[in-house]
Amino acid sequence: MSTAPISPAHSAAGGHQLPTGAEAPGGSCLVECRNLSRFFGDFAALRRVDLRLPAGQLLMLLGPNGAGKSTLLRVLAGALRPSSGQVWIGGFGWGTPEARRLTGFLAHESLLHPKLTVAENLRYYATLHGAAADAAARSLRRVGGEHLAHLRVSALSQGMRQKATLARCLLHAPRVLLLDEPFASLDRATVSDLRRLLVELRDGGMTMIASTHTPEVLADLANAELLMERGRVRCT
Amino acid sequence: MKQTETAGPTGPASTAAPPQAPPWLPWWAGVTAALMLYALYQAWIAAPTEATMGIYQRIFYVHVPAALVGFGVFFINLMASVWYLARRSRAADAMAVASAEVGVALLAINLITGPIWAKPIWGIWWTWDARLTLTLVIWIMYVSYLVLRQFTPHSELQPRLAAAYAMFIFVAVPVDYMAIRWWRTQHPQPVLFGGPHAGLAPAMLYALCVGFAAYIALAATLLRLRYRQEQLRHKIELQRRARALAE
Amino acid sequence: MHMTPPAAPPPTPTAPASATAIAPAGHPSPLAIFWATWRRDLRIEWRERQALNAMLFYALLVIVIFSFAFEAQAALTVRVGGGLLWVAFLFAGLLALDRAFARETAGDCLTGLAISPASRAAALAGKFSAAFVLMLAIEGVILPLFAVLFNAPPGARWGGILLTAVLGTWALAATGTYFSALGAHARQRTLLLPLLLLPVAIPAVIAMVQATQVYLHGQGGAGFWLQLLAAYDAIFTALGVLLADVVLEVE
Repeated sequence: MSTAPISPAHSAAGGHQLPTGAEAPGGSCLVECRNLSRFFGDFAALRRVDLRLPAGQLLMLLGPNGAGKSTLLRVLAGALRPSSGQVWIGGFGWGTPEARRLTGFLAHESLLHPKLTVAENLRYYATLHGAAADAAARSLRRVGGEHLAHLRVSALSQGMRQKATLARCLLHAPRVLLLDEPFASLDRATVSDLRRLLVELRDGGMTMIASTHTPEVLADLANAELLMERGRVRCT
Repeated sequence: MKQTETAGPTGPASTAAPPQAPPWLPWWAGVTAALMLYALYQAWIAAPTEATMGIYQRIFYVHVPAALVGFGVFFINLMASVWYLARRSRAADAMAVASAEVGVALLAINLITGPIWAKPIWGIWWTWDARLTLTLVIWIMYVSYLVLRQFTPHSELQPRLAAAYAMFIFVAVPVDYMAIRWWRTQHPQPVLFGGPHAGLAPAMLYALCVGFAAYIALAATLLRLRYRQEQLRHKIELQRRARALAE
Repeated sequence: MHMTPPAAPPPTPTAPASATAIAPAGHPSPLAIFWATWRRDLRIEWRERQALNAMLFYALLVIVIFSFAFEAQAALTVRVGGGLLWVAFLFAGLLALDRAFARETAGDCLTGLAISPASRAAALAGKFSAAFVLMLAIEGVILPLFAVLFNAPPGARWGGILLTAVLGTWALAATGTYFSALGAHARQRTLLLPLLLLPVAIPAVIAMVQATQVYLHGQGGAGFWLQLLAAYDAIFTALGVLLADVVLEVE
């Protein structure tokens, strides 16, 4: 495992100077957040999280339930607004179209409509992301799910659905992939398929953050790990 | 979309002193109460009894100021909503809440006193005359606005959705005005007298002016109190958040 | 897994071919998003025909109940037929409008839109146009039933009624879809929608009832009412598009 690229919560941003304002330097840090907090009412789901992740890393996010892993991923993906603090993806501020274009997000839910076929869902998302017309088919081939194209999402098994979901995440060629419990309730064969895919992506330069309850499945792939507890980064 | 730097529990808001009630507020409230009493005295006793309508006309000193001040307060809501959408200022949102509630209360006074007056004078409680209808519609839209606020959680979400709805209300009012005027001109109207301002006696005009002063003072007091209450609520939320962060 | 895509950019020297096999995203075109959303929503609605069938049946019930509540005679139809027809349209339409965002709860598809760089205005316009088509389809069932059960007068001008239906439905769909989005994150979404929509829809309701009344009567002009409806449509569609970002913003 390489050196941890994450600066601890209390240290100032090491390395280079960050300008104030929405634009952070692109540099080598693809994902960066500073002093990031997120509340639901009074409840602090994220407390002053600092994170710097260089390109091409696979960061494993560990911690018990309710530690804030999902919230962190949802904020980074642009699905939740930060309550305070800053987030940059590839140097672009949180919520900008550029940041959204760089990010792929595998959430708890598939974000695929159950009444549509996989291909129909993917084509819709390809349009939303402005991806090429054949991006859907190619992305599905990429995850080895060509045979799923004409199946309705409601008819898919867990494993098939996860592949289709991964195809959705990849169809606009993101630079950052956020994976929330990618291996939850999957059988052994699918897990090894997905693992192979993640290795390929990592070797292809994809920057990834994956949360998991089963570190043994991811440990040998990850370059870094981050332990969260009650909304805080505990250790790296 | 800009990064959210302000409103954070570490921001200056949480360290600043909580918004204090201004020292003049009790005085102002006292003046308001006195003005209200004086306005009632003027309306009930001091103003001369009107020749044709008799004592029923006295409701006019409450009815008209409540309506006009109510509309003025709704205009404040509009300004505050625009300000919120432009600047995402919590103070603007606090003013939007306060003005919507005060406006609904004032127009409710207007809508209740109207039929009480109309029954003995027109012989009917209600008529779908253009002005009445428009007033009712605006009141209904602001009640919907308050219901929307009730149903959305206290977060960034509530002020944003409420402000968006306020924009729709604002645009709907002139369209409503057109529709209702045309709708009513196609139907028979009750015979109205020549307008209350036609030859208003000086004593009556004075009573009306006192009524306006009282309702403006009342609206200002209520707005100030509700605005402060909303600011305090937000303050408490920020402090709870700050404590949650410190844990 | 290895392929040579025609449109792929030249692979970077360090990355294997498979990593760059997917073409990078371009700029999402609002028009494409509009059509894609429209097609997708109608396709889902077609596949979930139970909801569509229930809405149609509900509309039929409203008409039937009205014919009991009001004695259905030709004389009555001439007097208040426009109102009855539009209340039926409105009730059934509210169900269709609620579907616009209720549909997205399955699979959490609203998050899919939220994390994309797509234009919110285009997506909302697509949803609006799908709701518009859906409501017109329901009205297509209500209208002949109404004509039969309420003994529409022979002099009625149906062309005018259809034109009013299109303009009026546009009005309800434009504001309704927007308020459906507004309520998407609220508690009691289904209850909230009519509370938000009905007050703002009052001028449109006045205009469409009056115009329908004129055309049922078969005499007089409804030009002003149609103009008012057209103005309402233009104003509130524009407002919805302008404020789409506000209402579909991430929580």
